Amino acid sequence: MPKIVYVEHNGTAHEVDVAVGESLMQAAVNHAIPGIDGDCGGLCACGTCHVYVPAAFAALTGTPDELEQGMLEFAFDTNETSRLSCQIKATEAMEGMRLQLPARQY
Amino acid sequence: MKLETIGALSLLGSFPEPALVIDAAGDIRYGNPAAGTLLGVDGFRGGESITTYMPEDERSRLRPLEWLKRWADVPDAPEIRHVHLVCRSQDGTRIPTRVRVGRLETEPPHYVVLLQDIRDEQTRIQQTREAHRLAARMLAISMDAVLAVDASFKVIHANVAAERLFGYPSGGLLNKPLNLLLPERFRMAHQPAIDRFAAEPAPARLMGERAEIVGLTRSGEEVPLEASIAKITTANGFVFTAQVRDLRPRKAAEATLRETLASLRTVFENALQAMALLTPDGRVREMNAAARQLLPLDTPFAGEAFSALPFWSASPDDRESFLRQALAAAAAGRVYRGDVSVRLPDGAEHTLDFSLTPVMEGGDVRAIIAEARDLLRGDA
Repeated sequence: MPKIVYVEHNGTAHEVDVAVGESLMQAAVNHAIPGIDGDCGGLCACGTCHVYVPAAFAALTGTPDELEQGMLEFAFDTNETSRLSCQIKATEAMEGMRLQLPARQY
Repeated sequence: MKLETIGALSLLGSFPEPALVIDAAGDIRYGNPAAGTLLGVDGFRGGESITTYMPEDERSRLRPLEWLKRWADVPDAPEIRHVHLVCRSQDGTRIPTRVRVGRLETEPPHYVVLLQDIRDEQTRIQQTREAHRLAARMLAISMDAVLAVDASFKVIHANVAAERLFGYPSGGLLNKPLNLLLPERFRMAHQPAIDRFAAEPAPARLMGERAEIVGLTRSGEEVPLEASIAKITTANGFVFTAQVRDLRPRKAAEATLRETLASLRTVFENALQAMALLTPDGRVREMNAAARQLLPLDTPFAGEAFSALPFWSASPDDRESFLRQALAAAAAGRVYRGDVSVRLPDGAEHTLDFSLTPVMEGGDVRAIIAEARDLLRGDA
């Protein structure tokens, strides 16, 4: 179970044990992390689970597909490290990854 | 068919929902009065792009015309329920808007864009979300295990403390039957108990109003528990919630306390020396077996003034004054020690080696210990 740290925009950090294979959005919602909404439940149809992935982990989390890229247009304050956390499944190698959360999700 | 000939415009004109008609390039060909009200314009001139009515940052961030086309082509696109476009009214107000798009079969094609102001809806969603989050965070950090089961007694919520108490991984209790958490022998009896609770008018039973219960952990260990339960009527029937507390730490503390008390009592009651425990103002709280044997009393002594007990042999005035001085010394934190005379029930007078020791706590006298040895008796 890798430990993932969700860092709210105000700096508050939440450490969560995420089961391998679970989406990073689902784990955050299960632990009621403020700053991740996940309105559509993981269908990649709302853009409300936007996170910033640190560069060191970019290779592990992959790149957004066309659908995700499209939904990221609706997210607030995106940049080249932006991802939708419902599209990232946890792996052991992600141990210790610190995901920054945007100021708001829409 | 030309746009002007299909009668759609007069239809839209009386439509209470804001609606715009745009061409394939996104230029507004028509806007109904409701759209004018929403966007704060007094009639549409025609020919300006629909994106004029979007804030700058929205236009630069997403491709509005492509999304409008997609929603015309895929009316049941999954994102339509969740995403919205932001409109900008003439006075600069940002208006989050849910958008539906329909294609008009004109030549060339046009699109009807229906705008729904979702500001109120968003506020409600935001408030609900915050209320949920508050409740969820409180449950997450609760020291007590909190469980909720639905009408079929399946777990629909278990907080972190519940998972830890029963030994399940994160999410591992969800959809599990409640019976899994009860030792086999209680399972049959539990169901009627819940049915009775469901039928009674009280919405909750608090801790202390219930007998102790026993839980079963995943590893098969039985755990003494205390629970308060509540019922909530939902559209899908009853939901029962239980706040469960592990009684093991309290039971362990109680056992330690009992053992300590028993040890101290054993020492007190079996000491050869006569001992009495006095309050700071000189009243008797307890006398040990040696004291009760040395100075048998036929009246109760608990709560009486030590100096008023009937065994002192000096004249009442003398003993009052001596004992008052001795007690005052002890009450001021000084140990008193000296010989005193007592008259035993057989009439004989004995001299006792007598002491008063103050028990201090934080500078205050909490109690006074009186001790005595009979100097005439060889065995004491």
